[in-house]
Amino acid sequence: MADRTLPGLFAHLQPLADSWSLPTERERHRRRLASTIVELDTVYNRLLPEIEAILTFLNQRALDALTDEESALLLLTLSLAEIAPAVQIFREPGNPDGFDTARFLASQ
Amino acid sequence: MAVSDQWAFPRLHDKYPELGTGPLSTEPYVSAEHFEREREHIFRKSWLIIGRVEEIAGPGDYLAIDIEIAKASILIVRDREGGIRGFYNQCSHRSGKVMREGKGQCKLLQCPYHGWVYNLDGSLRGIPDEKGFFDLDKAMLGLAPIATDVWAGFIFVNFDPNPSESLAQFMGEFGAWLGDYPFGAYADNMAEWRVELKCNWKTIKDAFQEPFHLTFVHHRTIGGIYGNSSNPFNYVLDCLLYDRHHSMSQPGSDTPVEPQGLAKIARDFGPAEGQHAASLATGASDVRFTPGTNPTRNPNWDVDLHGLFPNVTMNTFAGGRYLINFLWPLAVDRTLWIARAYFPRPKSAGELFSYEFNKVFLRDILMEDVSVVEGTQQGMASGGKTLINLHEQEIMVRHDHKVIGEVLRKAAESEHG
Repeated sequence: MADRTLPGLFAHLQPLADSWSLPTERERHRRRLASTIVELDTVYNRLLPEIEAILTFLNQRALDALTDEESALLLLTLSLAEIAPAVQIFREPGNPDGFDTARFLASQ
Repeated sequence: MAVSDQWAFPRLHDKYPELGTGPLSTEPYVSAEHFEREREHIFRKSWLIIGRVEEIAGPGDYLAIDIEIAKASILIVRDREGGIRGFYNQCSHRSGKVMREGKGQCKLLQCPYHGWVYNLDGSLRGIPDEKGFFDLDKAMLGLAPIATDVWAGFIFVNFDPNPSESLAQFMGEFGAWLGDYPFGAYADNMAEWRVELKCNWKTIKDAFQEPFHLTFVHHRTIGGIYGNSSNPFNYVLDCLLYDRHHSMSQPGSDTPVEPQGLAKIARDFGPAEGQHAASLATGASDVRFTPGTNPTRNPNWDVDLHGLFPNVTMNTFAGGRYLINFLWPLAVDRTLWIARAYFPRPKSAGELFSYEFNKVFLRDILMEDVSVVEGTQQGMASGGKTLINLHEQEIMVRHDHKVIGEVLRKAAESEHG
């Protein structure tokens, strides 16, 4: 398993990173589909109050010069972006009209 | 200018009365025989977009692409002089596939079957154990070329050995208007999705040719952002029908919604010039009038919708941000949809988060279209009804129906003399 250790300042989010610091959109979407809406709500509510502090912290360094720990933290924020429509709009992990969204394959 | 003046929407069928207003047959969407005629007379005779110049930026860069509807694999290569060449991906020896499907970089093209080697210009360079062959005229054994040309940075091929028109002629007036749009501005930041759909290519193309469905299909996501009390059904500012291509110009809401919560954070950490969702939220004031967009110069313009005959649609926003959809027919009721979105490359962690937030939102909007179109195909295939009844704002669907019908009618006439 890839090392997903977070920077010390955000060590309290490590349990989330272990599941959600995923390097591709395709993997993050699969993780969203494998979760219940209750689990997604928990992740969302845990990360939302911290997202501005996290992005401000990461913005201190150039995007191509992040350490492994900072990259793991950035990937965790991308999972917040991934689950946002499910939590805010659809109120279920997938598509409410019945389309199996796992069929939609991201190249990234 | 009073708000009511901005919403003096044109009556589209008054503009194009020759199209008529009657119901249309579902047969083109469900008939296997009609599909084969489309294959022969449209897909093997039209200019088809297969990529962009940035994908093969340097000498030796190549794209190997299977095009099911043409029953062919093609090879697009950037040669040593920087030119772009297209070939059938077929070895002159025994028709082996010279390059595996995908993209790559090479000095020479070598077939994996028996090692025949071709130069980047397609000429045959070498044959292992050549002495074992008989009377080979190597000058005649280069890769078979396919008509290849470029418009606005898009690479097109034409399977007709003698195309009846040049690419410039094929794109016509529509191409002259849209050609100045900066399609390559964000070529270094493409997002792509692929899905195989259980529907005819036209069934899914139709969904992208009218924003009329927005209020309904996308009611959870963007119905409220575009629609408002003065334009509840997302009527368009104008529609232009060309010889085969067509275009609609779509306004955003005249009462823009300020983003809240995470959407606001994504906006605030995003680039100053805004992302897709930002243009939806802030309305007119930040819009820059990029060339090849907003033909009516409306301050509430948001996006143009284009249909490039036969199988490509585009949504062009301001400044080089756009979505392009390729609808590759696999069978009468199966289509490979490739969606590509181009937005500014993130330059910081905050911009990357903002970009991802907007990209996922866009993707989930696209997914709302899918269940509707597969259900529509099933309905048409059932034969319970054999006609469709189009609304005034669905005129581009009607235009496609007519254009395809005429192309196939002319082809049948010339076949039977």
